[in-house]
Formats: sequence, structure tokens, C-alpha cells
Amino acid sequence: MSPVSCLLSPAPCPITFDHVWKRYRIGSKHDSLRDAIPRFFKQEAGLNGQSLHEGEFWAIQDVTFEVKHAETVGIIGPNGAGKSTALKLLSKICKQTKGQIQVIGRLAALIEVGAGFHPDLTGRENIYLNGTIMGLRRKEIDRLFDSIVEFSELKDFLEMPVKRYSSGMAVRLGFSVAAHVNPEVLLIDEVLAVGDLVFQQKCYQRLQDLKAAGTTIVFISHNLEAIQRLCDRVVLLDKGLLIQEGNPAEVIAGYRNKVLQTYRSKMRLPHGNVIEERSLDEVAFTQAFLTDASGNISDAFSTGDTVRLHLSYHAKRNIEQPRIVVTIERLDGLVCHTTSTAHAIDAFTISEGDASLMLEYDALNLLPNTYRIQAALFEHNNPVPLSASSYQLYFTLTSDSPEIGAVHLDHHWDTKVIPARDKVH
Amino acid sequence: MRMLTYLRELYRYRDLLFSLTARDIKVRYRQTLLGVAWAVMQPLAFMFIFTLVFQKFGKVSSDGTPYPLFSYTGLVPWTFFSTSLGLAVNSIAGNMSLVKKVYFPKEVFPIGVVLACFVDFLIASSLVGGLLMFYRFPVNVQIIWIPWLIGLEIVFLIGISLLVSSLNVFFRDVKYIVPLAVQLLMFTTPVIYPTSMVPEPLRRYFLLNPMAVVVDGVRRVVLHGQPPELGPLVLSTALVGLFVGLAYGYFKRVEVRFADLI
Repeated sequence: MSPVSCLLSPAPCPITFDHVWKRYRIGSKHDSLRDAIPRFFKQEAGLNGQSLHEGEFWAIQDVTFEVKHAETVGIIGPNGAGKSTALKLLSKICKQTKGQIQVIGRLAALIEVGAGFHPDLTGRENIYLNGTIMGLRRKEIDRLFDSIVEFSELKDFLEMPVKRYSSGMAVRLGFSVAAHVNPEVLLIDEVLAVGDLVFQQKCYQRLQDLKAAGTTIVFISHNLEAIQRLCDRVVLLDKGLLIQEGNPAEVIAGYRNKVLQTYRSKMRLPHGNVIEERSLDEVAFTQAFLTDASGNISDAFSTGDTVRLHLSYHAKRNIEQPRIVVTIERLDGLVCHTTSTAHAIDAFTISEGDASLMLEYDALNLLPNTYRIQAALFEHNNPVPLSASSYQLYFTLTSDSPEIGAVHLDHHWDTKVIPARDKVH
Repeated sequence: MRMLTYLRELYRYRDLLFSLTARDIKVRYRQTLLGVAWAVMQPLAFMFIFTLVFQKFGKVSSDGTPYPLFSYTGLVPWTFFSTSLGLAVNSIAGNMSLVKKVYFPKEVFPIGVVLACFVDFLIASSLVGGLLMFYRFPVNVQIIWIPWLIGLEIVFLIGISLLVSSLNVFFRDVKYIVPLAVQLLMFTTPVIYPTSMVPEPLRRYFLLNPMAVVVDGVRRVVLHGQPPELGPLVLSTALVGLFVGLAYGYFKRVEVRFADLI
């Protein structure tokens, strides 16, 4: 959709971001008069301001998107993609170098929770300070005060200076104030990854409520599950460019693929997902790769596919009671699955020389994400692996399933059942 | 026209202005032993030292009034001026976390500082009443000029604060220039000595300094029961009005660049 179609639709979009560019300068941000005066005149002389000077870069390059009324749009992308800059431009904290930005309606931006807290003031005083910073009137805060306190669960700490709060408490107080601003347009920058799990859930619930109440939301997060859960549409930025825009599952899958590619180039992993290495260890893996059911080497599968891990190793001596352990880990560190030859194969031995083995997952029922699979070789009960080089392969899973979470579970709904309680009686 | 938009937005954020002012006042005196007494301490300490040095040693005239009273009446508006500017210059650069993370009209910082210092000024002023009683000076009707004089000082302060706080974001040199300039300005303002000591041909230029007009006016009103010199007062008011308009215009023009630079 272009901004033009937005103009044609009956209700104007609350947010339009039209061919926006934003330039920043790298390096020392504030200057002394001595360097600044010459620069000032140079700038005034070449006033067109459309090109890059030395030491400058584009944080946002020709980005265009819009957000419709009551829509929730997620912005994802690696660090330095321009996500926060986009939000700062939308909230008028900074001004774009080129392009048009329009925001209609009362706006609240949560760039940093509790940004306006003063450590020496009490919780109560900070609620008022922070509330007015967010654009609330004192009277409105009076009215909302009890609700804010209740949401924060900090009733007993109101008269304590915020500097004695734990960081979690401060965040709770900050979010509680922000959650009560009741804006028409809400901008959130990765602030929900704070506080304990219970409070996080409460924050997400609050967002769902705001969403249901028709608030237009722009949401930045590295938590892709949260993005998928909350957003109607997702924008992928990278190095200031809009890479992809569309439905959350698609864009997130695209992003995960990108992350995988970056990983691979950073860690110099060969493409095609084959790793071969010679080692001086007594036993070492020499080759590892993943294939699909028909034996084609791949690193992208669908949820539920048959996936095979092929491992080759070289032993310089016989190993009694060896154990090969294979672990699948999600990129955020969640260990999804671990299996070991010790429980699965009787009388598995490794004799001097080369050998291979294969591990087949009949149906890899993990949900879409990027995963790392690694193998390690142990002898008997020794907890230190024999092979010092640990093998890591990366792969992505995609799926059409609307399920969200870590794993796919076979399930079905049944609407024509007798209530369980009646059956008992 | 554009100025109206600015003012309207500032008005919309008036509660923020007041909470920032309240924050500044509370934070300043929290965890201090003497608390708000500090508002009186500074002019009082200067009063003692000035009396010793300029009256006892230097035999500076005080137009026939007791020198302590004379210097304190000058020191109260002067302290308001110097403290405000000392704090205002860094009021934006020192609040960078807020400037970068939340949108609101940034002039609330320098203006808030001036308002917070105004509260100190009011506290310090109360002691003028005490001194007047101590020296058996009658309170006279000319006191009705005070709101104009102090109003002029506040507007002047807001203008300078807007200018220096925004310049300081771009050039940290300003932070060092301001205290120096304030100190130099004190010697061209009749704080230590009376205006009558300024030679007649220079006095015209002398009174182009709005602070000289304010301090001289306050003394005339409070100590001598005379109205301020109207010509310089009107001229100063006009100049300050023009200046504050320009300063505000400049401030709003560069405001959008603060978050990029800090």
C-alpha cells in the first residue's frame, strides 16, 4: 500500500511514513566552539543537505510505510537497522532529513520505561513527574493514580525514593504510568523484555486490551514470538532500508533466514550446511550435514519434516562405551531437545578408523525459528567430551501452521461434546 | 503566528512545567540539613562580606541607607539572576536521557529552572522585610512597582536561559562562558555600589543593562520610597520583550536537533 491509497481510503491513516530519510553523524557528538564554527559555515554553504558528508551515515533510507487505524505493526530487524530511529522520528523526538511523516491523534511513545524518573523523588512524586512528561494533566493523574499504583503492585513503596527501588520495580512503575496514558497512537520500543515473567504477561495483556480498544500500535521488539502474537503486520528493516513488509509469519521467516545467513558468514560456516574438519583429537567428527527425507543436503525445512543428521568421525583408538549426544537449541538459547546414543543403541562401539552414523528425526515438530544442532562425543561416564571441536549446524524451520510457541503438538478441537462434568454424574 | 503555536503547546504542557519546577525545588533541598534556608544563605553571606569589604574597608556609598540593607536588597534579585543562569545553562544537556527518549516542548527545562529559582527568590525576599523592620524602614506605597521590576527580570532570565541552554547543547563552551559573563556583569550592575556612583555621561549606557534597571528600581522603591526611573524601565522592557521573542524563536528552530546532538 502506498500513502496515496491511504489518502483515498475513508479514514486517514494515523501514521504515514513517506519516503523518509534520516542522516546521523558518527563519532563525537558534541563539539567545542573551535571545531563547530568552521563546520557550521561549511554546512550553511552546502545547504542542500541531501547528501552525505564525511563521517555521516543514513540511519533511515527512503523508508515508506503506513499504519492503519487500530492496526498493530511490528518493526523488526538486527541492531542498527533503524528501528529506534524510526520510532524517534514518529514521536517527533528527532526530525527527518528528508520525507514526510504524519501522525494523527494523541500519541504516546515508550522509548524507555521511566526515562523521566528522578532517583531522589519518591514513587508517588515520580508518578506525577513521569505522567506529565508523557503528556498527562495533573488532574488526569489524580484520577488514574489508584489504577496506576494497583497495576504496578508497588502500593507499599510509594513513599520510598526511586533510587532505592530495584530495577524491576522502577520498570514496573514506569510501564504502569505509560500504560495509563490511553493514547490513540502508541509507540513501544523493546521495553517489555523487562520485569519478571508475571509482569511481562500483564504488560502484554494490557497491550492486547489497548489493541482491542482500537489503539494504533507500533511495536519494536527482538522477541519475535511477541511480535507474531501481537502484530497484524510486520516491517523488516536492515541498515536503514525497508527489506520486507507483510504478514507477520512471512516477514519473520524472512528475517530468521537473514539472521541465519549473517550467522553463517560471521562464523565462516560453509554454505550447503556441510562441515568437514580434521582434528588432532583422539576422536573427532570429520563431517556433519543435514538432509531431508530424500537425502538432499539442506538447512531449511518445514515443521514436521523428516530431518536427518549425518555425522562422520575419525578415531585413533578404540572407544569403550562411547556416547554421542546431539542437542537442538533455539537461537535464543532454549534447549529444545537432547538425545544420546547411550539410551538408544545397545552395544555401540567405536573402533579405530573412520565411521559414520545417522540420526533421523521422523518428524521435526519444532515451530518456525532458527535452530542450532550440535554433536559431542563422550567416553563412558567422563563428562568432558573427547572431541574438543564441537559441531554446530544451523537450520531454519518454516510452517504454514498458525500455531505459536516452541513445538507443534498434534491436536484437534471438538465442538460437539457432552460437558465432562455431566458425564461423571 | 508560529509563536502562538509554540505558546499553545507550552500551555498544553503547563503541568509538566510545574512538575519539573517542583522536582527541581524538592531535589535541591532534599537530604540537606538546612533545607530551604539555603535560599537565604547565599545572599546573606554575600551581604556580610560586602558590608565588611566595601563599607568598612572601601567606604562605598549606600545613598544614606544602612549598607547591609542596601546590599541585601540588591543581592536578592542578583542571586536570582546568577543562580538561574548557572543552572539553566546545562538544563537541556543535563537532561539528555529525557530529551532523547520523550517528546515534549524542551523549553520547559530552562523555564522550569527559572521558576524554581524564583521560589528561592521569594524566600530570600522575605528577609528584606525583616531587615526593613530591623532598621525601622517604613514599607511604602511605591512597592506596587515591584511586580513590573521582577516581572522584567523573570522575562529577561527566561530569554537568556532559552538562548544559553540551547547553545550549550551545540557548544559546551557556553557552560564556561556563562558563569564568567555573569560575574563580569555583576560589576556593571549596581549590586555593590549605588547607581549614583556611576558618572553621569556613562549612566545612560549603564542603564541599558536590564539588571541594572531592575536592581536600581528595586532599591529606589524599597529603600527610598521613589518610583523607578521610568525611561530606562520602559526601554528595558521593550528591549527584553524583543530579545525574549528572538531567543524563543531561535530555541524552537534548533530544538529538533537537540536529540541528534546530545
